[in-house]
Amino acid sequence: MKSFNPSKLSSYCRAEAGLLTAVSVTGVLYNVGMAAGPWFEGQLVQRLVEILGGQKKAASMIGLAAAYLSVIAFVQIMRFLKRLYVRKFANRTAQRMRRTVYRSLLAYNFSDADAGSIMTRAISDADDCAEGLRKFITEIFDTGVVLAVYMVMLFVYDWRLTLLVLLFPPVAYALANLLKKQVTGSVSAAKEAGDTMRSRGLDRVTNAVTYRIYGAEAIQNREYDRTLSRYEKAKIRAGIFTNATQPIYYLISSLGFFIIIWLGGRNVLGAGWTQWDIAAFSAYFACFGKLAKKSSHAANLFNAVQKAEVSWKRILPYMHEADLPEEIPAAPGPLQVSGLSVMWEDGTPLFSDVNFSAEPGQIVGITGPVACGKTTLGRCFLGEIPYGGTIRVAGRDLRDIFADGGDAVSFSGHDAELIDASLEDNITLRTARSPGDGGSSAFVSLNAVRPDADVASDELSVSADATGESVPAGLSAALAAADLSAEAAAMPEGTRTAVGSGGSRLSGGQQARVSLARALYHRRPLIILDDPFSSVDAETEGHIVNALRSDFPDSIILLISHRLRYFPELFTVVYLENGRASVGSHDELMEKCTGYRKMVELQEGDASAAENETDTVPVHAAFEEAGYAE
Amino acid sequence: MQNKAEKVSRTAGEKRLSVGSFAGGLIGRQKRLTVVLLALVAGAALAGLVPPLILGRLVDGLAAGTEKTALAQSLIACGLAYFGAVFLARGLEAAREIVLTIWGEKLGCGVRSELSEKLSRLPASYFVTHSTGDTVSRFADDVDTLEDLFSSGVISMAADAASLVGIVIVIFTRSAGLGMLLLIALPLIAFFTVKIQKRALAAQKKNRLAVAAANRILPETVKCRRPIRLYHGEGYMEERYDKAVADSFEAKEEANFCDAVYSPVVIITQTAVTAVMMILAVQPFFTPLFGISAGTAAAFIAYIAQVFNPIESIGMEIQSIQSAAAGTQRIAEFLEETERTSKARNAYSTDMSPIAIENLSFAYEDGKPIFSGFDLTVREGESVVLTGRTGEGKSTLFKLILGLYPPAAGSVKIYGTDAAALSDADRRKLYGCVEQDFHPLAGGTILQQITLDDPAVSEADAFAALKTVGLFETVNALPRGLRTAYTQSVFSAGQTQLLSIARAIAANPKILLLDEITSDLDAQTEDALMKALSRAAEGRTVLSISHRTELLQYGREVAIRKADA
Repeated sequence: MKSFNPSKLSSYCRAEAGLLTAVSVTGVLYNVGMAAGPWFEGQLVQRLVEILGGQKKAASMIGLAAAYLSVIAFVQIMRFLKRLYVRKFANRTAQRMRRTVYRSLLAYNFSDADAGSIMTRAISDADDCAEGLRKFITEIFDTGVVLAVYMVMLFVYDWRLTLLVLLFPPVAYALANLLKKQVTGSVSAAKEAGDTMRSRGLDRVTNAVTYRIYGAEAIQNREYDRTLSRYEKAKIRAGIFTNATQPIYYLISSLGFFIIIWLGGRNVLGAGWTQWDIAAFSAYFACFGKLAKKSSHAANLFNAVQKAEVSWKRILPYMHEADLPEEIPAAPGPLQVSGLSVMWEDGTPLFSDVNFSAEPGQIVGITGPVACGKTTLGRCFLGEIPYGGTIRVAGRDLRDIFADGGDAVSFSGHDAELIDASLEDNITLRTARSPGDGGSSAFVSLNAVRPDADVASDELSVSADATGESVPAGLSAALAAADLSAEAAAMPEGTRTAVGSGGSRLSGGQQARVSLARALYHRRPLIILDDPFSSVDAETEGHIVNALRSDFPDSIILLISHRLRYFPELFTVVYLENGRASVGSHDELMEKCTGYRKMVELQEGDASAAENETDTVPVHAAFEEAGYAE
Repeated sequence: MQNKAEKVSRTAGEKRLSVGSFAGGLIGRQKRLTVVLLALVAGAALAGLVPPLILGRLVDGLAAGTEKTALAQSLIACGLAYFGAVFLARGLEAAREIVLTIWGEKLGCGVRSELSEKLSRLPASYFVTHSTGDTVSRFADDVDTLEDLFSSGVISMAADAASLVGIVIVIFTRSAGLGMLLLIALPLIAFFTVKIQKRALAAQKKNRLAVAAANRILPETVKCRRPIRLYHGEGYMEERYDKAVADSFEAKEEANFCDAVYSPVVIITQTAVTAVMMILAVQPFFTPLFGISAGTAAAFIAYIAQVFNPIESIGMEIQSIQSAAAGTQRIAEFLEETERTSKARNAYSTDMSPIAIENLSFAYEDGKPIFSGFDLTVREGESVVLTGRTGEGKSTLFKLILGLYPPAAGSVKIYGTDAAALSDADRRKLYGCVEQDFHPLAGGTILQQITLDDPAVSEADAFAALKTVGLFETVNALPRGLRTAYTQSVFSAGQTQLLSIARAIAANPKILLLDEITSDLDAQTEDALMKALSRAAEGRTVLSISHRTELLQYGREVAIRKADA
């Protein structure tokens, strides 16, 4: 297995060499044995003629029939084994390919969703590819070998007659090729119509609630019906072309039967090229019948090769032996952003010359009007977009940290990006908390201790929550910081509760806070929080900000938000507008930055107006309350 | 349209549909085509019987060996007759296959259409309790297998059965003994077939589930690529994927065994029957039953191959029917899902309050009430802001007002009519709702995103809505304007929210529901937007959810708190 190279098709064959040998042996035995059928059947008829004519004894039929049965039984057992082994081969290869593609999907650092979906499609190509390999191997034997065997048999019986009758299958094949364009054209049109129909169907399901809300269900059903009738027409057209050409092909091949009856009959009567008995005639006739039928499948051999080739080419770019990246903790330390700039695609700056710095334990608030680039600013720290200037963490250029595979950043953004797993697994992703993060212990999934994991399992311990169930260390703290503890405890299976596909069993606010908890669990030197409070009420927001301020002494938190309620409490504020950044404390910006002041005043006006009517908890009270609770 | 009425009464009337009666019901809708198809099936089966008979007579003639010159001349005629018989049989088969395609497509598309109609009749709770992926797989994979069932399963099986019966009858007329021999062998094979199929079906079902589970992980991986990469969830994801793939491997191995073993066993049996026939044919004791000529023997050998071929294909077809059965079962189950009970009524009155909620009680789960004795009346033209912590029921109240859920007790009335009872046409006239997330119509243009294909919403309406939300210039600047295909890259997240609002107000609704409208917009854009909205709100009733009290400064605030259990 050491020399296994996933990008070489031969590797997959070599990996299953034993299976393939078995397939070859049984495949050849089976297909050579296929000639035994017609031969024996001819002998049986001949023997019957002889017995009825009194030339042989009735008992002689028993031996012949027994030989016939045992040979065919052997051949069929070979067939069974060949079928079993070739399927096993395909199944194993598909599994191997799927895993390779999936691994490169994981290992490849793609930032574009399109790239991801291309790779997703590649996985179904892996199945097609393995299936194509299986068909190819099957056809080599069931078409290639068997056709050769039949032809040899025919030539042995009467080579002149055979030359004559073998003219017909190639003629048929040529004709079929002429019609192929129409056939493939109509088939691909049907496939296209099918794709449209399916995507429309998926749309109907995924947006079902939207359509209901808008009273558009009947309209959408009508649109779907229209797509369906287009699909139906295309499919019928394809069906007519495919089905009509097959018999034409077979008919031309079977013109050979006419020749055999005519000239082969003359052979039996002693007036032909060779002298035949009834056995020869029957065997020849049956054999040609099988050959004509098989040769109509000869195209399958080429089609199978072609199909497998196409799928293989598509997955080839992903067939590498990729190593999964492992956690390389980056050292915490001060953050220094100098001359940071990002360009639009056309070269005009989105923002430029952004400078600020912070120490571990401090929170930097980043704000500004819509489309000012604050989300983009956050992305700079993820290494997802090219930027000018430098970002230094603990004195090291972030680009260098990323180039070395270092993990310096946690992130929580607008999309919660949850997987269909438990609350706990969504937060931890079954990874240990990096050592030296202030937590006392790390966690590793019990059934996932890989020998190559960089932490030995005996160094790990698992703490227990109030219910007595073990929870990963650091999970409770992360849940508490994201103000999720109470809600998690109230769930049917606590933190083990499944969140549903995409987090669908949680409310929007809960999803956002799980994403936040995930960023806080993986406490990295830099924690980027883009709009974490968008679906969180003021009270919850207060609890979270309080936790962020007190519980993360080793991390620098960049809080990107347009909600400024707690900005006065933050260490530094960066206000982005029209491509420029104003940096300073809240009070400084209130003085010198008109845009920031207006934004704050607009929000304060609303807040104070609201306080008169509702029991909104004032800022400081919220902190006190949260502090008391802890 | 009358078809639709039938479907409704059928799904509502019957308690539980078996797969068979479900498929039967579908077939019943294509009576004429089914008759033509069955005629072709019978014709092709009959035509298939002729060639071996011609062959048998020829062999007898050759074996007799008399009148050689006369026979030599009739060889050409005999050859032509054989070719002609093959020609006829093949031609009829092709015609059968073509009609079969048409038939299968008509039925398959019928089911698809019915599924989409069924969606309209499901209660909103269905979409919460069932994952989208689950419903999607019914729409995609299951209907595909059902379509296969029609296009290559049921009728092909009938065709094979017809040729099987034809051959057995022909054999009986020539040799009662061989006929009886077949009557012993056929049930044995049938029994074996059933056994194998049961195993295969179970394995296939398992495999299908495992493949679906593995496939679900893929789009999820793409969607969550950032946290996976950032926090090194790669190992965990790979472990999940490996497990799913390994499950599918195991199930597939089992299915492969059944697949591989079936046809060899059938062919060995076929050979045994031929061998026994030949032995008995020459034993004097059995001659009265088995006595045959050489020509008949040749024909019988051809027939025996043919009589078992259909069983082999019937076996395969039953397997494919059974693999489709799982899918069909799931479709039948889906079509049986409990439907919404309320009937649409057109009786709303603009004299009544836009929203009147009285004594409302509601719970998703028993014992966990969200609302209990809740009252709220919103007057014409009023702005109401719902506030409260997340998870307290603001979104639920919206869903109740939208009529997605029926209240457990009390009433939610829109202009005097139960919210759930509003007709589709009234719905869009009455409400516009900005959802939390924008749900784009797949493959649609910007215009379609706004109209949702509703012909009642004109292009002018769409433009007016875009003007209100401030997207008009942006859209106009696009190369194809409103007809530009909508993709995620056309608009920024904020602009997408604006588009969502344009969709909500395009039909000029009386009530505007804003779910978390400002979550993605900063204060200044919000401010501009609120001005635009208050213009639009003139003479209109607005209900919104916000954690932020800045929203709708002139609005009345209603705090929502979860009812005590």
